[in-house]
Amino acid sequence: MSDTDLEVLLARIRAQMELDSETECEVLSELRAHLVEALAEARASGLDDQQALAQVAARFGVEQVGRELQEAHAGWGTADAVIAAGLPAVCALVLRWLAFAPDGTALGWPQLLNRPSFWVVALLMLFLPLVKFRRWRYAVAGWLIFWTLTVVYVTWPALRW
Amino acid sequence: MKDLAVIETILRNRYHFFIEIRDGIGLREKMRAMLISSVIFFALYGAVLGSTHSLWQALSSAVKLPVLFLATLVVCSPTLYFFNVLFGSTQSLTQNVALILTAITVTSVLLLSFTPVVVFFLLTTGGYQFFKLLNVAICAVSGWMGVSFLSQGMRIVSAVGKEGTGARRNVVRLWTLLYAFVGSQMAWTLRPFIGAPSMKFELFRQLGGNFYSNILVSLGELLGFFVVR
Repeated sequence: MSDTDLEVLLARIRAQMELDSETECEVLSELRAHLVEALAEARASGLDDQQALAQVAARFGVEQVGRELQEAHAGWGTADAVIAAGLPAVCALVLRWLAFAPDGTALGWPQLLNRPSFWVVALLMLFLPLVKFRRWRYAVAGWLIFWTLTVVYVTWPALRW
Repeated sequence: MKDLAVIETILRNRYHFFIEIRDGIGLREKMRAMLISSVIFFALYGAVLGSTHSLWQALSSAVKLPVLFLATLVVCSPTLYFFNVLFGSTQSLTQNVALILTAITVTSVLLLSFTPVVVFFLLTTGGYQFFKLLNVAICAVSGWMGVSFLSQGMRIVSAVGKEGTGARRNVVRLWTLLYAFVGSQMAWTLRPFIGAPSMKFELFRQLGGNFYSNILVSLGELLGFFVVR
């Protein structure tokens, strides 16, 4: 069986998918490995190239596998972007309201900076996303910037509020 | 994740999405997904807006911003529906609402994408007028992109070659203006979203004045023509 036949099979599966090109490429390269393995097994059982391809295509269910892969991976690209935009904002707001009274007035800064609870929460809010959300590296990068800005402004309160 | 998959389809494969709306396929699921996502995104953006003032303002804006867009949708959708029907559309009111909801979802996604920018300015600047105008500009750009999406959707949904296609296109253009006017007045009615630093927290302000004159006043103060007291 030529590479072209395998590509045709993959193209049929790809036609069922509407994922971002990076995810699609990852999914298809993994699938390609499975298909090559299945084809080798089919040929080892005595089938010729065309029969092996037909058998593998029937076993995998080309259209169905495409739809299932689409269902399994759809939305993750958007989720990454939503998290990248939303997580740093949510964390920054939470940190902000730890430092300010609900009516917006600043708490006593010297007292606040001396409170271990502020630093415990601030550091926890920095390291928790770093450890927990490794997949969302852009979100964590954004959060790092906002964390730094918040702590800088807390340290020099005269600049604002 | 299914809700986000719907957003992904809107952004990546809008043609397919609009065709499904035209054919009435999975309308409820789509509308539910768009409604949930847009409410969450608007709420987050609203919370960021209100955070310049106080926690109460942040919470209030997180509720008011989704209400602003959804109330505008409810007020404006019958007009679009009846004018479209008048010029030969075969779409139902639900399909029209789904199309407008698509525009609102796109607006909410774009506002969410601007959230880190707004948080950055929130953390690094103290100018109320600047912050207000920045957010008006962001909302205007996002709203315009959303309405452009609606316009594209209307073109796809309106069957080509059928009677009144051109007239329906004009209806959408005029409706866009109406939507902008109603939206800005709704925003003015539901204000404050940011909250003036010199004022205490208020859930709603007294009626009076209008959105456009307020923006001109803010521009005047930002450019140094006068000081607002």
